[in-house]
Amino acid sequence: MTPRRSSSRFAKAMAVVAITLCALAAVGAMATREVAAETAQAGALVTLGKSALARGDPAAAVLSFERARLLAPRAEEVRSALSGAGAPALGSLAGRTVSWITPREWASLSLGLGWTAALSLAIAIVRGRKGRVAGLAVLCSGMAFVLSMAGLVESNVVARTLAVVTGPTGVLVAPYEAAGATAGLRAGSVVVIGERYGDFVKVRGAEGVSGWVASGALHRVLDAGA
Amino acid sequence: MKPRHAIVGAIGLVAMLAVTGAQASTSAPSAVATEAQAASPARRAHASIGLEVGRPTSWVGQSIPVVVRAQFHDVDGVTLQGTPELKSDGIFTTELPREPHQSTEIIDGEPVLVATWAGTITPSTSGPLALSIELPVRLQFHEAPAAPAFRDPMDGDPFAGMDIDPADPSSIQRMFNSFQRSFTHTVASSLGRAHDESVTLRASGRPLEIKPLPVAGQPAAFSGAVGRFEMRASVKSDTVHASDPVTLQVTVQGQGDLDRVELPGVASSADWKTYPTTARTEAPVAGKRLGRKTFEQTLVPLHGGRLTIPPIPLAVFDPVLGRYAAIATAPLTVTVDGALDAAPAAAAMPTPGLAPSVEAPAVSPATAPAPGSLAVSPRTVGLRLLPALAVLLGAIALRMARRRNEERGLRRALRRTARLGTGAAFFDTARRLIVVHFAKRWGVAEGEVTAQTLRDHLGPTADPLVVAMSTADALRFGRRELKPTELRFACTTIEASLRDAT
Repeated sequence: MTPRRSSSRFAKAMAVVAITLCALAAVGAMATREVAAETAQAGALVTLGKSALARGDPAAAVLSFERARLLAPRAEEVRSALSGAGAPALGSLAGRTVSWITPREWASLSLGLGWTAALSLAIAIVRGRKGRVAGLAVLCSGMAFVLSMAGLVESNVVARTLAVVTGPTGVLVAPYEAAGATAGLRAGSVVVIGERYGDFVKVRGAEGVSGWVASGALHRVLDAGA
Repeated sequence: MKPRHAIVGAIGLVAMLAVTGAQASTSAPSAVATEAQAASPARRAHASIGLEVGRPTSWVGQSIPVVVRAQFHDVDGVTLQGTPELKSDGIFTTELPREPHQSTEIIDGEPVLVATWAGTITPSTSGPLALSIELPVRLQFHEAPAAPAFRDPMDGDPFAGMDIDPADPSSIQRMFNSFQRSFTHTVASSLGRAHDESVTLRASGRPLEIKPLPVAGQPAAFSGAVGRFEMRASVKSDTVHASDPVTLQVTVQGQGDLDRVELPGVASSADWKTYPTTARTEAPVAGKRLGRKTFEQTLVPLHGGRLTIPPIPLAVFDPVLGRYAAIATAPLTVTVDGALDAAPAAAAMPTPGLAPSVEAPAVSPATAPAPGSLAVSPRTVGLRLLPALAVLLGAIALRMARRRNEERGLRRALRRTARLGTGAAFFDTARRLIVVHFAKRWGVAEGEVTAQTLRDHLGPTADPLVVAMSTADALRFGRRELKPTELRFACTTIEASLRDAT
């Protein structure tokens, strides 16, 4: 191999490394800005929740805290506010694990990995037999993309099924008013909502509470208003 | 224990109710005594109610302590069917506990059940204030027993009718009936006839003298608070983070009608964003605690630094001194972590006034969360990945175009490898170019383009091309260095041969 050929390859490699680093820096800056904005939003929600608690409105407070958890689940301020309001994390182990990352972070991850997989595939297609490294990148980023999309779907399911009880209500064994109550839910209790039957929704709450609740007594975390 | 006459004297009005049957009536004490005596010279049940007023004269809005005493003598049972109801047109608040204090007192040597309610009334108008009181009760009692008739034990046979004739079975029944009649008569005559009656105890008395509040010197912020109060303000934590709400607690305690004590709270300012106050009143506990009203207000600091919560004033009328007075809380200092500059939102704060802002908690537009932004749908991610699909399609198109223009690419690669002086790569590219060129030209598979077919088709013109192909084979299996000038000459020759062959 001649020195000229070697220097050319080195320059190419350096260019690729530089471009990659620039892209990573740009993505990192965007992600940092987005996380900072979300943390600020979560802080504002925690403040709203604390104001609601001071007004004696636990349902509005927990609603704000749960929204803050969707934005910044790892923030100590949010976690302490939730524990102070007596709102434990619900859902399965997988759901709680997925909830450690926000839906927007899952979306960003999926988007980045999706683009990486697509670009790697494009390079592999263009380079043909010579694109073995690109093929390997397609394999790795493709698998990571599928996993991140699964996380995104699960986090969306968790977020969309969370609801807060707006007032004291009974948990009925069947979806009609005359049905017997198995337990009671206080205002501000967090439940996971399931199937709907008429004006009733099947819910699952903390400590194994499960049954039917009038849909008017619930406020979904993702719904507008408080 | 107070003797009954002392209560009567202190009350100023008292009524005794004689329970004589279905009707209950109130009258003056002397009349009651007369009626009671007339109804039964022996033991008899009676109930009474009295109202003790703390002072005969008072100011409008001033709390007047009152004590309601209901006494029940010689009754089997008493059920209160409500609380004492003070009737007057000039009272706007009455604070009497629902449950009375119950005790048994010895009055005139007789045990008397006494129920006592201690509370306050607040007059609303000046002038004479007439008071009356009512208390519905249900009483169980027995009439006074009749005097036992003297009976000579030797008169008649006490065992009459109790003979048992073994031959007469009905004699046992006669004996039993005789015994039962004797027992019933004895018990009934000793206890008296039983009664269970619902009655209403009523009383009325001399009017009180209520003085109007002076108009002269009345502060503009006076809300009607009359009494002697003291105020104390506190915050749960004097060190908070920026935008963390602070709960200000103001306690007003003292003697007076707390219902008319109203605090506007701290007004919004450049330092604080404030929310409406909430209040709760704790009634006084006799001998333990004065009445207390606690106001709570949420304040949100708008910037960092040492912020001062201003004093909160309260204008009151002191009934003892007979003039208006102003009391206030002490200013509080709260240390707030965060930037010293006021937030932009502070510029939009209303001018400090008496009434606090009541709008919903303000969050700056930059940090206002939208519920829709809390979750991202997978569909959104899919839409954002659509351009990547376009990139993939472009790559596929490029790949196909490259295949179509492979010969052009090979010519560029031939010149590049000649320029770089890589002999093996040059002749490898040259052979590939020759094969691709003639396969496309002759419409045959690339494998069919060999040195022999070139000679067959092109004759002597094919010699440079055949040499190039054989050199490629030679360089693949053996190392041989070629000068760049040689490679450039070979490149020119091959390209010329390809043109000539065409």
